[in-house]
Amino acid sequence: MMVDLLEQDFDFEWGELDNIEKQLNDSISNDIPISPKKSPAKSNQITPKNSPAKNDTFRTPSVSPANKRHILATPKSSSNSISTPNSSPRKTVQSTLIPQIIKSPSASPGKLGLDNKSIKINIESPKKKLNFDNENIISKSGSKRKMSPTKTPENKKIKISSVDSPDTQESGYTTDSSPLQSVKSNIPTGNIESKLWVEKYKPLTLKQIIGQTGEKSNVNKLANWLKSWYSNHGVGVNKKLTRPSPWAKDDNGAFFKAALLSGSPGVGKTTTAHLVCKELGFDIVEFNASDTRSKKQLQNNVSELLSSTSLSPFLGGKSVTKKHALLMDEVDGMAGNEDRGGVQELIILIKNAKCPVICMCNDRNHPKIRTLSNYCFDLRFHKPKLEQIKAAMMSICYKEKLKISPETLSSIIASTDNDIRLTLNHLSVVAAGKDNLNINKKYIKMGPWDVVRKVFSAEEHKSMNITDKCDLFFYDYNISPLFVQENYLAAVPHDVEGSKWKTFERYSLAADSIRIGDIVSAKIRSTNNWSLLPAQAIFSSYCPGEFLRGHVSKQINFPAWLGKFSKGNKMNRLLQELQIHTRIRLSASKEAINLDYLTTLRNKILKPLIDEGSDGVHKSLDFMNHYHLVKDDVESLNELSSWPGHKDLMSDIPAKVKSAFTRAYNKSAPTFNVTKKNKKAVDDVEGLVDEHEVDDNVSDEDEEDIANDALISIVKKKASKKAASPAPDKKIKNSGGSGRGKKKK
Amino acid sequence: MSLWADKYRPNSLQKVDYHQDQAQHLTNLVNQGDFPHLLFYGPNGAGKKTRILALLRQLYGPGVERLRTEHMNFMTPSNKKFEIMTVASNYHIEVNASDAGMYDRIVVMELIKTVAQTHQLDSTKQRHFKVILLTEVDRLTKEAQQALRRTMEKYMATCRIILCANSIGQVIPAIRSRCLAVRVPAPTHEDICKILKTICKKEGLTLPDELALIISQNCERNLRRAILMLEASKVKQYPFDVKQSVVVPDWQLYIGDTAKQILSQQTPGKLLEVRSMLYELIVHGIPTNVIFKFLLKELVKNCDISLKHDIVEIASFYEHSLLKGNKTMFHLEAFVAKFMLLYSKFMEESLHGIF
Repeated sequence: MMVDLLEQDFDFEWGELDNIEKQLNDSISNDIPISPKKSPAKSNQITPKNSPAKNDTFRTPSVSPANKRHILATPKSSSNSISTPNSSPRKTVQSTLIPQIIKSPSASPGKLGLDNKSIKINIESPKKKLNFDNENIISKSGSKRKMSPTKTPENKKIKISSVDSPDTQESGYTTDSSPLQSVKSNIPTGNIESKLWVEKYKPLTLKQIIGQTGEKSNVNKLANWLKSWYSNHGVGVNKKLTRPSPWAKDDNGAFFKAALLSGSPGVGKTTTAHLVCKELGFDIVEFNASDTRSKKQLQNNVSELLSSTSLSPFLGGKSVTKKHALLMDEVDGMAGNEDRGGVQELIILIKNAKCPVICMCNDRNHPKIRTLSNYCFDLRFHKPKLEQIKAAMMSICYKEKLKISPETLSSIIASTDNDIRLTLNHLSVVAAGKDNLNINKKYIKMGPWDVVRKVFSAEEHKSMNITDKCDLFFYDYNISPLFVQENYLAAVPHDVEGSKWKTFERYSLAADSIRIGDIVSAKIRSTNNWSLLPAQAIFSSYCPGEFLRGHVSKQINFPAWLGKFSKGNKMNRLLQELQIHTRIRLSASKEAINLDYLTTLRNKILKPLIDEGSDGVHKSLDFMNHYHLVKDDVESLNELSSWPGHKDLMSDIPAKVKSAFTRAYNKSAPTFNVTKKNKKAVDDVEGLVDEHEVDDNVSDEDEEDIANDALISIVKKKASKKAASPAPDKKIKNSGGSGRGKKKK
Repeated sequence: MSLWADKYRPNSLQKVDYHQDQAQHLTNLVNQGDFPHLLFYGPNGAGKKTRILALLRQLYGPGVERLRTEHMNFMTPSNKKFEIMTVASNYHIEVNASDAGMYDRIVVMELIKTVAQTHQLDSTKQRHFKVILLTEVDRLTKEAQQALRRTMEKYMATCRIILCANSIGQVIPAIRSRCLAVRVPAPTHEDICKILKTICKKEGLTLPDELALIISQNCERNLRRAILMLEASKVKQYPFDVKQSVVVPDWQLYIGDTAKQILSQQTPGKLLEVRSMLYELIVHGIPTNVIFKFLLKELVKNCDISLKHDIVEIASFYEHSLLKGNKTMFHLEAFVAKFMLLYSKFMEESLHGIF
């Protein structure tokens, strides 16, 4: 192991040494408190390696690369011969490097003519030197510990410990930067630099909250509610307050003891609550998702706190005589085992509260929150408009001297879905990075509608390569192919000339490639071969887009395939039901019933009703009985056999006949209803009947029929008798088939 | 009361109207008292089920006709429950395992095994075996068919399995080799005419020969459809007229309408309209091969002879691709688009030739 490492080291010795240099250079550049963009250039000027020309003027020992190499080479070769452990190559390298650093800043101000910022370098560079020295000392001491009696390996070993141990290096950096910060903190401008933008530009007064400036804004409502809280609910106050109607527009929330601030993340709920409390002089006790808020916990800590007027025991002696408010942040985060019963307890707390409670949540409609919201003054925070955020952001950008175009800013805000906090975070990233455009492109969320428009847009294609176009497919690879298929006929290709069929050829090609895409997708899903997904992207999205490059002329539609698919499933279910009911009578398969029997069956039932009116009811019912059809089947028969453009037979039946039919059906066909409702009872009956059958195979049908029905209910017996009466001959003829069948559906 | 198609279904092998030789063979087979597993196959409406039931009656007597339905519950390995309906007499049980969709294997494994494993109580009175009738075997998944093959051999002593399928192309060879395959071809036009006439005679109606022929030509040699069409025609107009138009099923008319739309105009907008019509057909559960067949028939009728060959070729190509894919619509639409392209190209070129 060790030998391996050593050898490696030896091989890459030069590279490693260069690395050290680079790291040193980097560390210089990183620590310069000018904005990072500009720093590398400047640091380069200082560092010896990259600017040999300038170094000439500095007259540093290692001016040209060749020279440097020479210098570096000598200690190395000598280290092999010198036996003293302290003269490690590492050390010599440093000795060559460090003087440079020392020299360069001292030379820089005059010779390079640097501006103000370079003065900072001047100030800091001694620090850096120190740091590096420190670090080197550490690494040296580390290497000393590892030393072994043999000379040559020892030398290499030193290299390992000093060069290859990232820990010490890194720690070097961190210790490096922290004192720097302390230096920075002495400079007023440097202070802002160190802070996150989100923290830095947090509103300090109520007026600064974005989108909450109006007279009826949530901020004002909350402030008014809080102001009047003690006069409404305070100790000894016995005001009669009525619950406001949920539709009341200008409610001041006087009835409620708690307020519920809801809204999407980043709109400023927490900020608002804190600021309002601060401005009105309330002390805040906050519980958020990081605290356990189980029932017990709340009981122990909070209830005590809420029901008392002084907070001194809770806050450990620090006497608080002022008004206080309880902030329950992230209420919808009260979940899991730890917070069990938390919401219920919170409600109880609110009921008994002696101080205002402010709850905050994201999802106002969460079932847990819904119970809570009954006890709360409901304040919904809406997302501020893009312009509102934009104005604020522009001023921040100005303060930060970040040049950003209004369009880019708009797109960044839009990509965050008007989330102020996220926008600020993104902006700070943009400010830190160099190519801000690239970063924010990826943030933008696209819906399938936009994707389809892009797929067929010649305009967009100009700035996209094949990968970008395939990426469109991956926005949602489940729905994209459907969207493309639904809308490719609305696309108008631009670059087609000549006869009509040439244009149509494009559509045909697109349809073909979509078809192949489907085959690929079938393969993916049947064999779980997801590596084929890019192939599907080509066929389902890229190719149609290429064939029909142009623009989409119509509105983008949602894929009809999904709706049709579920409708098809429903039809299939109805058909299956039909087949099950008619199974005993019909030998046909589902398909045959669908293709052949449907219309005939429907006509047999509906035609008598249409032609003969109420007199036909009997006929239809008999037919239904014979084929074991139930009322629902008639509906499904009608639905299955109706085609657009064809007449709906059902509508031809007068309402009177329809109701007569329903009444007669309810009377005469209870057996079906029963089988539907309590299958179990019938199953028992079935068992009984089966035994009967084994015993006397050729027993007379009618008796058994009635006995069977009697088991179900007496009322039905009468009805079934009635129903059976019109067709006694049928029963005899069919030798038992009907009797059996009727018991089941 | 019942429809003619059911009313005049022959219930014994002696009474079947056509393929009498085959019926005789079957009778002989059964009269020996035992027979191997059977596999009936043939197109829709050829009389497979009729022959199977007649065979069972020959075997067990009229008791087979006392049917009852039973619901059976199954549980998938993922603990999903589903229900299958069976039709059974004391002697046989009829199952359509493909009703269970992708879970058909469980039905085959559990139901058939349990039925097959139980012996008849009284083998002196009855036969020593039961019959399991499996319908739509060609719809079974390959796994279910694999599960079937061992069962068929293992429980030969206690049960016979009769399989019923439209085509044996989808039945795995292992099963085919274990069964005596009985092909039930569709009846000829003469057979159909003869049957239609006998039915009319029994109903006390007169049917002109010409009308019988028209019906038989319109029914795809599907006897069931022929009889239903006859009955529908009778409802529509009686006494029969030679020139009377036969009642064609609605879906067939609708496919005809679709074809007309395709031929009327070849633009993306029209294709969009056709798409919605095709969706209607798919939603109604019309099998895609039927859609392809009738659509092609209608389209080819209106094509130049030089185009016909190409059209048939692309139709077969797209039907094949449909079987490989998932979403039938995509393939149907690609077919229509291709047809529209060929058609409009041809029209334009031939028009160009004129001027």
